[in-house]
Amino acid sequence: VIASAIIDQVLIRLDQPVDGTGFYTRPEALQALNTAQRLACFFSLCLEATFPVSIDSSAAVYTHDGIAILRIAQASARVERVSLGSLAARDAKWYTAQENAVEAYAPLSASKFAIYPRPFFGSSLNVTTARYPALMGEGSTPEIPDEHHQALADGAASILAGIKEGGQEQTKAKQWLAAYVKAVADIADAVRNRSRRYRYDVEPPPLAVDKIIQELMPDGPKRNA
Amino acid sequence: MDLSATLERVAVSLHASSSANLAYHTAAEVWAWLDQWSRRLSIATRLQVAIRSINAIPPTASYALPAANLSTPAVFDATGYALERITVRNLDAGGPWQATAEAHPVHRFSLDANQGLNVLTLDPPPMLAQTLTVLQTEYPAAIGSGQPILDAPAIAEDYLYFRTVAEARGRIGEAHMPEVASFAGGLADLIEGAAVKYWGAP
Repeated sequence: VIASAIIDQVLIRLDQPVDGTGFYTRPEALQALNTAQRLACFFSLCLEATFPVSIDSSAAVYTHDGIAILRIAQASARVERVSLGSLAARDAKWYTAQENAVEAYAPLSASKFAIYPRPFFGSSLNVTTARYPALMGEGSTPEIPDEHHQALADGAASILAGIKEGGQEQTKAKQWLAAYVKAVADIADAVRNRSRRYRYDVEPPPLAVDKIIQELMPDGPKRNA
Repeated sequence: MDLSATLERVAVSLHASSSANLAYHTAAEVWAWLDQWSRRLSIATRLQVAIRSINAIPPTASYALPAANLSTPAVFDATGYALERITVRNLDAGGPWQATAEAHPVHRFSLDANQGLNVLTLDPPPMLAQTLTVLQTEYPAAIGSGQPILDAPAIAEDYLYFRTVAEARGRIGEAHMPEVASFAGGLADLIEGAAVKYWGAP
């Protein structure tokens, strides 16, 4: 399903004209759709990318632009994921140590990781990360699995109603939010099973669907923020 | 990412046509919230890590940490040796703190050796001048209309958007919408929780 068709569905859910001349515009709906897909990918880690990272003896710290590193290999050999503290325990000179093969990596931040040891000569690592989806235009197709494209419409509609409206409209949006969070949790469950088969280093966190829905759009008296 | 776009997105969500036409808030307030929460995200998660240096000169033991330091996961001497981090509490068990330079190399450091905040103290003080490598988590540069760029992953834009809407709708006044503040803040909490799991905490 292309994004423009999903945007139509978002606006219909919100009782708005699909030409975007009502309370919500089509660019707003597209922005919410992009957010819904980005959040789905962030919480489920369902999109992956494997790319080469050139390494050499000049540095121990490298960057990536994914959500989290799932796996690193050098040629066909798996590189072990360890904590920064255990690198120092393994070798007090880990930061400058050099060998033929990289034994371990330690995530440092949202976008950086350290390797141990550095290679003597220029080499390459195959880094697999969970990645963010590309930003969609109206003619784009969402990247998450097809069967969950309807859930993206639910997610975008609930974000729009949850952010821009309150009271009764938000109550109406609760069903869309529930469908969206349930879909994301289902994707995360499937990814978690797959991650365990592939022995990935990171798996998506479990999503407590009912608790999340109740926290975001509680029943009964309004909470004070 | 350019947070000028986030500012405009927030404005539309607050029922304004643009940030210049906000009815109950000002663009300066929104910038302040974006700045505040970008710092908060860097406190809660390892958003940014950088490699900095300190020039150690004998016989000085204590040095100011590099700018924007939030935490110091590792310090290396000029040979690449990872200095052991020690606290005042385990100093007692680890032997007396060396006040003067000795023949053996610097082998440990402390960030709480009664020298004040943001000060790194070496033990023993260096015998030779050397450049220390400091691996540190950092605060992002201050965000504002004159500096709208934040070096952060794509999800940070959503996080800051939700946090800012929550701030605007959580404030008591004519624009107060507690259920919207609760919804937006709750989404931001979820993002922050997953980010801590993926990226680690400082």
